Amino acid sequence: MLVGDWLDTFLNLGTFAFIGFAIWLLTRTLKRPDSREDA
Amino acid sequence: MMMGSRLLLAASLTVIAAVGLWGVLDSESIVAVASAVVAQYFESRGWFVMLSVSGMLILCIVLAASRYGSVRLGADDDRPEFSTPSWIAMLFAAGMGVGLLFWAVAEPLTHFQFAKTFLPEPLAAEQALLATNFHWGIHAWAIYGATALAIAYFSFRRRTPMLVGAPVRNLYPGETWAKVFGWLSDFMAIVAIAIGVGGSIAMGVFQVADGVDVLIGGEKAGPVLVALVFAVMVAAYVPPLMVDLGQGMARLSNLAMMIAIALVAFTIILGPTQFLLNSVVSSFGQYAAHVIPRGFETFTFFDDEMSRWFSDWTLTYMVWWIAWGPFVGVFVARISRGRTIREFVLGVLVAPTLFSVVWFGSFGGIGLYDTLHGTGGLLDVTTTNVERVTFALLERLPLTGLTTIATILAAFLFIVTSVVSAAFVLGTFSSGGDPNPSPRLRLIWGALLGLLGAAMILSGSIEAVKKLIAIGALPFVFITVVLLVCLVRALREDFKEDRAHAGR
Repeated sequence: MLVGDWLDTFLNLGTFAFIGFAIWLLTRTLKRPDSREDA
Repeated sequence: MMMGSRLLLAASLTVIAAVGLWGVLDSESIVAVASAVVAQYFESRGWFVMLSVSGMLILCIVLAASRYGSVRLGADDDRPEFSTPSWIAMLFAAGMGVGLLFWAVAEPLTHFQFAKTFLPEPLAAEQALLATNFHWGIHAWAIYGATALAIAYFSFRRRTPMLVGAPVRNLYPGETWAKVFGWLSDFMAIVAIAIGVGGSIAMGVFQVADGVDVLIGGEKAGPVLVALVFAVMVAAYVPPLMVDLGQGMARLSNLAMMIAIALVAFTIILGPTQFLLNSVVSSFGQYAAHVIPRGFETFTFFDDEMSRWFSDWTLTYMVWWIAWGPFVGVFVARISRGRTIREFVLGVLVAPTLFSVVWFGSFGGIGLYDTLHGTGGLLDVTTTNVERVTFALLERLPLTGLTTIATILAAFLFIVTSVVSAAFVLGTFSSGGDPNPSPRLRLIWGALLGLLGAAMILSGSIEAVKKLIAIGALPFVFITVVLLVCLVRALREDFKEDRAHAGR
């Protein structure tokens, strides 16, 4: 069988989702790009 | 205090105390759980760890080479506080510390032992040094450098508190996910640092106890001796937590570093000098030739034995450096104020890497010399009692008593200085960024670090300690990536703004 372990697949898909999230963070336009104060 | 920081303090103290107690009361079960999680994680995510680590190296190089390289960490008229040599010595002592003494001979010989099962001995020796240099080389420093850059940039140029969660809060203000993520990053940083330093205490205690045992002529350090060394170490780090020693700690860690440098010089001069210098040059060449491809190597097409080696060593080291990132990052950020990004990257990545190559080329080289041309006794010690290898080597050189005491002293100083500075950084993190946490808070962290150290010592072996450190570090594989995203965004925004100002 060439079917992978489900947990393994799940964790790796999660990692891909994270990479997508990081790219979104890097590229999206901010509503208030001048804001500097720390939360 | 910032909102949420009381909760942060309570949550982190509770979790760390719980982990410490669990380890002390039932060290077998905590090691079993850690091993299972680490195995699952590493098996499925090796590619991601290697990819992000290599990404950090490439990011550092690109930043240094680009127009951002001339951005200063600090105000534009800030100048470095420390001279370059003393800055590099401090970097190195903070980043590597006691592991360097521990693994100097043991790591290359362990890899050699493994590699010679499928390679001819000369090639196995080359591979052993290559693997060791990779683990302690430029990738480790790129992890530290990138984390420190993000922390330094935000705290010096955007005036955020020195916290791991600060960049994301600064860049995405008012967004709910950023608040949650920032809080979790601060929390995870505390957990990772505490567990990492706890492991370091255990490693140092094992090393010092074995050194003392060598001096009194024993075979293997018993539990009483280990307990005694642990007690002395705790007694030694408590007083500096109560008073502010200022530069005193830096001086002590510089002293440890000087001892380490003296030991390597001693070994090269009194050992088989020609062989060792050849070994340093040859391993440098191997490392330079393979450094980038090795950063992407996941050993997929090899057997299970190889996968296990890869996750026990390479992945564990990489995650280990990532876990130390926030701790070393805050320290490195503090001492690097006033340097440009280009200076910073060159200093942090290149100088310590070259030192590592000389260190392992010499100590690994003499271990391999003993194996290939000598009696081979060191290889046996590596298999039976890995804590003792450094001392076994010193026994084979002149002035054993003196060098053994010097090594014990250096290990002791490395541990005490890292516990004291860790308690300081943990105090800063858990009080919401207070750069001078109260002595009471530092003392609480010192006590918890001692508890964690005791838990790790009770786990009984270095392998177990490595697993426990890895589990504390796992979330940082993700947090560090977000930190770097923030750094790149902030650099781009600020650069655009400066240009807009200049054009007006």
